[in-house]
Amino acid sequence: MKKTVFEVHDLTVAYGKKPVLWGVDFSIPEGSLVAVVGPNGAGKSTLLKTAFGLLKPLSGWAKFFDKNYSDVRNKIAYVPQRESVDWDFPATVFDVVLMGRYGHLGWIKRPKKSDHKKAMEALEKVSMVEFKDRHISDLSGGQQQRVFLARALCQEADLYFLDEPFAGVDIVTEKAIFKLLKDLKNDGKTVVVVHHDIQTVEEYFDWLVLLNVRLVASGPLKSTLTKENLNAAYGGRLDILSKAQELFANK
Amino acid sequence: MEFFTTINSVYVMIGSIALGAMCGMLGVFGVLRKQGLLGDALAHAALPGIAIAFLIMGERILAGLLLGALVSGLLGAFCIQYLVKATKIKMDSAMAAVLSVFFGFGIVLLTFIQRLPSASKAGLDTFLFGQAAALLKIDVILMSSIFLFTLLVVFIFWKELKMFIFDSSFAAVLGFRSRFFEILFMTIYVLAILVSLQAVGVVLTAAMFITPAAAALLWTKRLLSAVVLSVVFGSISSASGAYVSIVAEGMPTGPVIVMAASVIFLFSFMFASRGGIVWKAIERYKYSKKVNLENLLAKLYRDTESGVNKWQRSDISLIMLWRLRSNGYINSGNEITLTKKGLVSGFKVVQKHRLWETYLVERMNFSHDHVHRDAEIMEHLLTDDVVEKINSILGNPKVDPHGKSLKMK
Amino acid sequence: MIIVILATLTCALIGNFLVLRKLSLMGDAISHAVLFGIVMAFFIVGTLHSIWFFILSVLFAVFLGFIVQWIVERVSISRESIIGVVFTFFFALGVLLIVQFAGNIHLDTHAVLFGSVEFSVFERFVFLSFDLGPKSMWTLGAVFLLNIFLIKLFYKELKITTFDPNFATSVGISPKLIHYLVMFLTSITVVTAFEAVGAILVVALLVVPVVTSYIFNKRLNFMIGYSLFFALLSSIVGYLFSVYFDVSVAGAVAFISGVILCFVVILYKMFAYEQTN
Repeated sequence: MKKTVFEVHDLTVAYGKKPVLWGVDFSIPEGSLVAVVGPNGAGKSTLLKTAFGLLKPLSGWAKFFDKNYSDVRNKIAYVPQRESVDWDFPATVFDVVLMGRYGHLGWIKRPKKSDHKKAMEALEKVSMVEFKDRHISDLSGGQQQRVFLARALCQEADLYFLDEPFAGVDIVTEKAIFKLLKDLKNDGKTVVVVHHDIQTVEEYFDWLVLLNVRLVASGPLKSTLTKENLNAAYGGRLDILSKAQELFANK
Repeated sequence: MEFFTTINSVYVMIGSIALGAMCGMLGVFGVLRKQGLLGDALAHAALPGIAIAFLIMGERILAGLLLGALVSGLLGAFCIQYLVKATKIKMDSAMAAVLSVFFGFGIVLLTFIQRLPSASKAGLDTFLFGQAAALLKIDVILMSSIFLFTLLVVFIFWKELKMFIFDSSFAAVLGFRSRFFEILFMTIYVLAILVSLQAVGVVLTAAMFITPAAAALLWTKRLLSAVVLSVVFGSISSASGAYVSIVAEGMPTGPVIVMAASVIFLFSFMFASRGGIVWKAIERYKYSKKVNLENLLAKLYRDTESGVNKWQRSDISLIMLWRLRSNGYINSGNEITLTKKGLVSGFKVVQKHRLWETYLVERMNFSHDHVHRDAEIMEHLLTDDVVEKINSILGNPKVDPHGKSLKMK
Repeated sequence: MIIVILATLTCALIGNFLVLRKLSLMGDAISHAVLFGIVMAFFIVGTLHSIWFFILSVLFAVFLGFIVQWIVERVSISRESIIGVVFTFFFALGVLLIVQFAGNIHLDTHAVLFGSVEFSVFERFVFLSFDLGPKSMWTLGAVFLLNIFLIKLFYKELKITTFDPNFATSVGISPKLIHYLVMFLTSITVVTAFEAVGAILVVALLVVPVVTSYIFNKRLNFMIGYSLFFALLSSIVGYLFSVYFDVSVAGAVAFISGVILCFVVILYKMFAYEQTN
């Protein structure tokens, strides 16, 4: 029986006043390559943000390696959506990747030679070494994603969360990133990806979480990717549920 | 002289009210488009134009000064757009940069003018903080005409403006027309700013466009009501300012108007029916009262399910007893019993609770032990029509996931 | 002139983080509204020459940020508009108080808006009966050093929370705390510079040299460095300009910083054009 590395229990989260996640409940076993999918507004990014403490849930909790997030921070890497960042910021590729070491350093301390080395290694893994002094606004979407990934890699985590890493990325980068994720899995790490494209799920992942405000299904990919489940997740708005969301928001 | 002053006061009042109304009206559009502070930037940018116009003309002719302000203001707007388009610079810093540089240049010119021997340079100062009392008849006529003009434009293009604000993605589809409205809106906005400059001054013109509109938006989200309300708020504010500046000599109008508008805003913030915090607190209190009552009714009903039909007075608090009785839910005597109305009401709450639990388990994949807390909240929120819908979707079930009955005894 | 240089440098330094964090308009708001804080502090303390005056003014400036946040959380009106409402209110109140009660000397409206660098030279800092120069120079100098120290200390935290606050939270660095730091530094800078250059020009100093540097710099430390350079240049040329034409110092410095911005923009466009050809 595999260890549970990530567990969500009865999680209800509101965006503004309206709940976008309702009583969500699932757990992820170690070493899986997980896809979290669902229609837009289904609460996928909200799930991630709540897990890291960016949002406060109305109820429920999320646990990592059976502990609170703040206790195991250094074992977890988060790759936010690319568009959540202003790429005009004055920084080079190397600057951004080095930021991945900041968590290990803690407040005030400065990055050391060993941190620089780890950042370089991460850059090698994503094949971006020649870009290391390039300004981040001079990168393509795929290259930016690689930089984010490199930053996550030098965090040396056991659990990786990526928010829509394949969105707007060229096919070469997509395959390259996926290969990296697979390598991570082979090293015993767990990778959770909020994925935008239900079509490619089968090709890349081995565990599926279907989300549409509430949990539709969670389990090994083959058995969870059924027509029934897909309908429940994508088959149009559930009148009752959306009415309930509204009523809740207006109380 | 006395008579003249009185007549002039009337003009000042009229002008100020027209001003306040116009700024209030346009302000709503500005605030909704999140461009409130753009007015601030443009007003500050107008200062050098005023100074240069004065230097060219040699004396204080309002029309000339306003023309200078117009050119300068538009130049400022152009600079902001250019900076954002041509460089990495973001909108907010572009606005702050243009605002302060132009204003700085204006100050340079003003201090330069101050050193000049010419006598009629006084009155340029009034452009800084405004001096409504200094308005002449001709100024007022100009202001009122511009007000009527903007009123006309807003009236004619009302539908388009509405669409333009709320649905800019749709407006973008229209392409050319969207550009046209952008320019049109910018133009009347700048005109209004120009007109405000004399009464309110460069530094505080922004408030004229933001504060009354923001206050109005606390009361309603409907565009027409917001505009009307904002016009009213704006007029009151500027009338107050004008009054004070007529009565108390030397008192700059701008700050008084802003104070009046801010007081209105404060009042709205607290008491407005949509956004006011006092209002919201009252609503919260009413809701919790409702919840308490319904919870009690539900408990009483559940008691009847286990055969209990009577309760002691001492079991229930006085306040709740009073509430139950005044709603006709109980018969009181030495012991308390439920009326038919009370029984049905209690059942309804319990039904909603159990029905919701059923829905969560059967349709939403929730597990039995996770549904109670949710139902505790939803039992107070579900309306009768939603209950009917749920019933029909579930096929009128008879029991909930815990085996409890969904039908009344 | 040293005073002007110090004011410009200090403002530019913290201004980097205001511009990068899209807080320019907040900086604008603070530098206006702080007028009220200063007037109130003056009324309470009775003199401009006490440390309490300074502390109260700074507290007010920090408090301003909280007010705006508090209101924004309770209404559905945009943050930018709330900033406008709040700062114009306090600024208007401040002006009214001055006109009504203070009347003259240090607190007249002109001095308030545009500073009184010309006069502050006369307020010297006397220590052990040595005339160590104008008081403003020392306070500005101290604030400048404090800014350098704190920014250097929290450099990587500033960097990461500005660039990617979500990621920062996930690695345990709190963007909120850094935000308070930035607001605090801005507040003490604005209060101190206010005396020398007045409300509106503080905005110019916070934003314009920084923005000039932002256009072409690829790395944060270079951006900061160049912003200080442009600040220095603006203050020296601006000061000379104001002396030559006998006009307001603060206005001149702001204006010159804008002229420098223009030059840099033109040069940048020419250079970029050449690059693509």
